[in-house]
Amino acid sequence: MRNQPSTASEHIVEDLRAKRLEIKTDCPSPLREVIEEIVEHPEVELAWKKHTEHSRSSQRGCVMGCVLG
Amino acid sequence: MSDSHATTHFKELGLLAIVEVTNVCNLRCGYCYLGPLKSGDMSPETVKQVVGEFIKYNQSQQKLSKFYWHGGEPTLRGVPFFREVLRYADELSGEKVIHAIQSNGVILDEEWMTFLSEHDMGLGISLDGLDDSHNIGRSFANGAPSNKEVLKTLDRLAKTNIPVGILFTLHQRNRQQVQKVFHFCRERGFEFGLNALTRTPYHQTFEDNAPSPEMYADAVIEVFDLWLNQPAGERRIKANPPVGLVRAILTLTGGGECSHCTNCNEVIMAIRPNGDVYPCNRFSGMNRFRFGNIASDGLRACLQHQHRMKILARNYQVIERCRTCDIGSICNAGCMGQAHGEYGTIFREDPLCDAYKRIFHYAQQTINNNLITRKEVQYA
Repeated sequence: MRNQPSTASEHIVEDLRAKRLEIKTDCPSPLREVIEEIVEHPEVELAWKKHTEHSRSSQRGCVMGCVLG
Repeated sequence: MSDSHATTHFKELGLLAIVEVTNVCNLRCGYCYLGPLKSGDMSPETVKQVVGEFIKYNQSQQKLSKFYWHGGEPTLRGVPFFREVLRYADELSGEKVIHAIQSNGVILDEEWMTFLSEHDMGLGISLDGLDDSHNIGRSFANGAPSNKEVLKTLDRLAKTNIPVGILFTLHQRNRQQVQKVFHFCRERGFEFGLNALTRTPYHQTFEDNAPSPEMYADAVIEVFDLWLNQPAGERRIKANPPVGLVRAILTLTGGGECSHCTNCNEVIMAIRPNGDVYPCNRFSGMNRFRFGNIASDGLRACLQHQHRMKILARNYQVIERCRTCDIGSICNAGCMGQAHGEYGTIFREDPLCDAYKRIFHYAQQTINNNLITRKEVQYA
């Protein structure tokens, strides 16, 4: 059986899409942008699941220990 | 500002090739994964074979090809070499091919800047500090410091449109530089990435400076807060691990961090200058991880090699400590290269395990603190 994180992280995106959760108005912009990127663009979530090129910025840097893109 | 929305596109990536085009390097970094080996270039024929095999394979899977040009110091091969490589890749592919290069930033002149800019090529530069703490681990062969050359290059890059990412390798002697380098990046619009110095198979003396899990966790949490609290209305930059941590938590797929993928070997391969194929640079030259040779065996045989099959069996559920861990499915046992460097086996947890627990819990808590249940909804 799959281990679950201590909080229900696998439900966050689902609940945000269903409007059961929302991002606080004072959420810092960098965090808001990453959450919204996934929530508002299902293809981005899919991108990570399927290892998909999704961002020009992810071309940068060394692959070892860093983002794959 | 984040550029992720403006330039988003969603074509699926194929197998990513980390290509070591040379062993030669003008620096003698104390934590180099190649150890003392500093000679040997990849022949033009082998480069073409690598490019051809990967493009052909990825096209057969209807996926996009991406190459990370590595070394040694890859820029020592010169602009004409890379111009020919990119021309060949474009000609062969007939569609977009993504290229990025990882450099020490010492010899990047105007010709290089023009080339990178023209080809929209991602550039990673290693910078371990703004002062002498950079030089402790990253000096020239004669022992001379390299930071002045690197900083000069970075000042020039800041005036271009080249997408630059800084790779900061944390060790015991540059911990105080984390914040300074982050601000340096933000002022110039560079992406910031932090890695921990980890053990190589060569056990070089400098590797004794590897940070403790506690020091690494402190540094990552500091970067997380710096990233999170970038002032509104000012230039903001992307930083890793923070962005990758949030994505990993929300998607349970590693979020693009190779250390936290279900199994990085599903998507990455490294090719040595002689054409030998390995799971990643961290295993370069280690025979029991060699998948074969791109020229004599071909890529498909390498993909089916028994060494790869064994590596693909690694996931958090086969590692005792991870199986029962509450972040097992988020962390995915961390980096197998780091596990091997520390314990001599990939079937152990990453030695930074205790750090990952702290870091993921911190990021998770931060996410939770910034979400709210809608009042009108009965939330079970």
